[in-house]
Amino acid sequence: MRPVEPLLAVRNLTIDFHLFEGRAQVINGIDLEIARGESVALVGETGCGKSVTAKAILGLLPPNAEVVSGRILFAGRDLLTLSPGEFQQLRGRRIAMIFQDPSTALNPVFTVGEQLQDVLLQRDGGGRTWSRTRARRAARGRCVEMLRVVRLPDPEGSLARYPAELSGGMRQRVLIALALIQNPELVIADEPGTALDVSIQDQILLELRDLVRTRGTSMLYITHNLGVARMVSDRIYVMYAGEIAEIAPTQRLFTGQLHPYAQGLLAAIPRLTGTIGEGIEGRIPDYVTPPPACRFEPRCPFRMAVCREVRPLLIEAEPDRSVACHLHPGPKT
Amino acid sequence: MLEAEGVSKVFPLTVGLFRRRVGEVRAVDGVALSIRAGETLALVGESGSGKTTLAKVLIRLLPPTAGVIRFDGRDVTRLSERALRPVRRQMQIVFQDPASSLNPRRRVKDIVAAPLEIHGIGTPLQRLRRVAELLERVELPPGDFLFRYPHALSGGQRQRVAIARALALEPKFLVLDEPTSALDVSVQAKIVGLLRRLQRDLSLTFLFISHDLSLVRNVADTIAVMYLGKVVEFAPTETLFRAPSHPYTRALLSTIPLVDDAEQALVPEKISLTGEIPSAARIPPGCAFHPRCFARITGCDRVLPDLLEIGPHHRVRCILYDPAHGARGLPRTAVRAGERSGEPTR
Repeated sequence: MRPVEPLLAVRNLTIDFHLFEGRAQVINGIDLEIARGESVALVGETGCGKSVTAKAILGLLPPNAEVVSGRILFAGRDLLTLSPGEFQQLRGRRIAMIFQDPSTALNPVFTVGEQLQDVLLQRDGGGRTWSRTRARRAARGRCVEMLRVVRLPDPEGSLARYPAELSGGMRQRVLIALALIQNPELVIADEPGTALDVSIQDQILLELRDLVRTRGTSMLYITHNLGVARMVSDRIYVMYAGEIAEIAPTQRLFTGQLHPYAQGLLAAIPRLTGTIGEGIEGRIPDYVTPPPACRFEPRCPFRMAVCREVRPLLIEAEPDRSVACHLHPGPKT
Repeated sequence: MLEAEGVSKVFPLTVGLFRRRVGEVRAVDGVALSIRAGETLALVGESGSGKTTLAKVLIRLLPPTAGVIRFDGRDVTRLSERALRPVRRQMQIVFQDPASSLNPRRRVKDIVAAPLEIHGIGTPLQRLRRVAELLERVELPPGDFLFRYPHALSGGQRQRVAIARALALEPKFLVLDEPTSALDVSVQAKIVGLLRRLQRDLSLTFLFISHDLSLVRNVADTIAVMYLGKVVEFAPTETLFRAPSHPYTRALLSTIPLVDDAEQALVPEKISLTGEIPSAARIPPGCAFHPRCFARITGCDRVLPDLLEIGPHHRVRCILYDPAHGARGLPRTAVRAGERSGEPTR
C-alpha cells in the first residue's frame, strides 16, 4: 500500500550553474514533498538555493543552469520532461507564483483589470477578436470578485487603476489575486510582503494563509524569516547551502531543532524576551568548491572527523522529522 | 550627549519651472528627545514615519525647519558648515545598505581612510596603520581585508567596513540607520554583538534606527516609537515592553512574527491594523493615527494630545491618557487574543 501521492514531489534534484569560475553545485540533491492542501515553508538564508528551487519547479531557471539529475513530479507528471508549450499550459493555471516585490512584478503600463484579465484569458489562447471582447466582459466579473477576495478596497474602481496608483500593500494584494484567480493547485510564494511594513505584512500573511486553507490550495512559501514561516506553514524545510538540513512539522521545529544549523539560525533571532544569540561563525560556502561531505561542517560547532568524509543523508530521526546530520544516526536497522 | 527640542523638518512640495509651492511634507514634527552619554536610543517606526529624516536632522545632515539641537551641551542648530566641521567628527552615521554605501571602485583601505583624508589627519602611512587598527576593532583581520574591493566581501563584512569607516574619526556619537536590515539573522546577531562590544570599549552613544521591535528590545536602553513624524511613545526599553501604552505601539507589537511561546506570552492580544500608513503630505487631523486606531474615541479626529507623562520616563501621546478626557488609559488587553479588530466578518 502506498500512502496518498503528494501533489508535488521533488526527488534528488541537483542543479549546477555554469559560471565563469566553473561549475557551481547550487542545488545538491534535494527532496521535497507537498501534500494537497498543505502549506510548506522553505526556510534558509541568502544564497541557500531556496529561490532556485522555486524557479526549477516553475521551469524558469536561467539559461546557465543545468539540471544534472532528479525529478520534479507534479500530480504524477515529471515537470522536467515537459516541452515549453506544455509547461506554459501548467504555469499560471495549475501552479502559480506570488512574487516578492510588488513594485516590480506588475506591469506599470497596464491597468490592474487588464493584467488580471490577461491571466484569466490566457486559458483561451487568443481566439478571434469578437470572442475576446465577449470573454473580457465575462472576465470582468471574476476579476472584481477576486479583488474582493483579497480585500482590495474598492475592487470595481481598482480595475481601471494603474499599479503606480496603488500603495505597496494594495499591489501585493493584486499580486495575490493574479496568482489565485485561475484557482491553481499549487501556489509558490517567494517572500511576499518582505518589502512591506510589518503591520501590513501581518495583515497580508494572515489573509494569504486563510485563503489557501479555505480553498484547499497547496502552498510552497519561501522565506528567510522563521517567524513568518511559523505563521503560515504546516511543515518547514530548513535549507542550507543547496541541501535540506532538516524537515519538521512547524510547531515541533520551534520547540527543538535537530540540525546544528537550524539551532544556530533559531538562536540568532532577536526575541521580545530580550535575548539574542551569538549568530553563526563564517559564511555560506563557495559552490564551485564546496566542502566535500557535510556542507555545514566548516561552520559547525559540533563538527567531527566523519563530517569531512561522509555526506550526512536525510534520515527520519523522529516520526515525521528528518535531519541530515551525523549527530543523529537515526534508528538502527 | 544629545538633546532635541521641538525639532521639525518640513519639505515643500513644488510644481513646475518656478517651483510653485503646492503643499508640504511634515516629515518630522515637533520632536523632543535626549540621549545620555553611553546609551542607546532607538527610533522605531514604519517606513514614512520620519525616523531617518529625524536622525539626519539631529546630526545636521539636513537643516531643521524648527527647533533646537544641542550636542554635548552646545547649540548646534544654526552652526555654519565651517563651524560644524569639528562637531561632525564627533557624530558619524552607518547606513542601512552596505552594498550601496561603499564605493565599489575603492579598496577597503581607501574606504576606511577616506574620513581621515578629508579631515587631513596623519600621513598616508599613519592612516594605513590606523585603518589596520580599525579593521581589527571590527574583527576583520587587516591582512585579509585591506586590499579587497567591496564586491569581494559578504554583506556582514561590508557592514563591518562601514562601521570601521564611521569609527575612523573617533566619534562619540553614532547613528546606526537600520544597520542590520539588509543582513541575514545569523549575521545580524554577529553585528549586534560587535556593536555592543564597541559601545562598551569605546564608550559610544548610539542612535539606533529600526523597524524591528524584537531587535530593538535587545539593543536599546530607551525607545521612541514614531508615527508620521511624531513620537507617540517614549519609554525605557523594559517599561515599553512591560507596559506598552499607545495603541500604535500595542498594534505594532502584536504584528511581529514571533518564534517562541515565552515571547507570545508578552503579546497577549492580536491587533491587526487595517489600512496603511498615510502619506506624510496628507497627515490626518487630530491624532494622525486615529483612522487606523482600534481604540479611538470621539475627539481623536480633532484633538492632538501632548506627550503625556504616565510613569517614570514614560510618555505617551494619546487622548486616552489625557486627564482632560478622563485618563482612562488603554486596557492591558484591549482586544482578546485571536480576535481581530476593524475587520468585516466573513
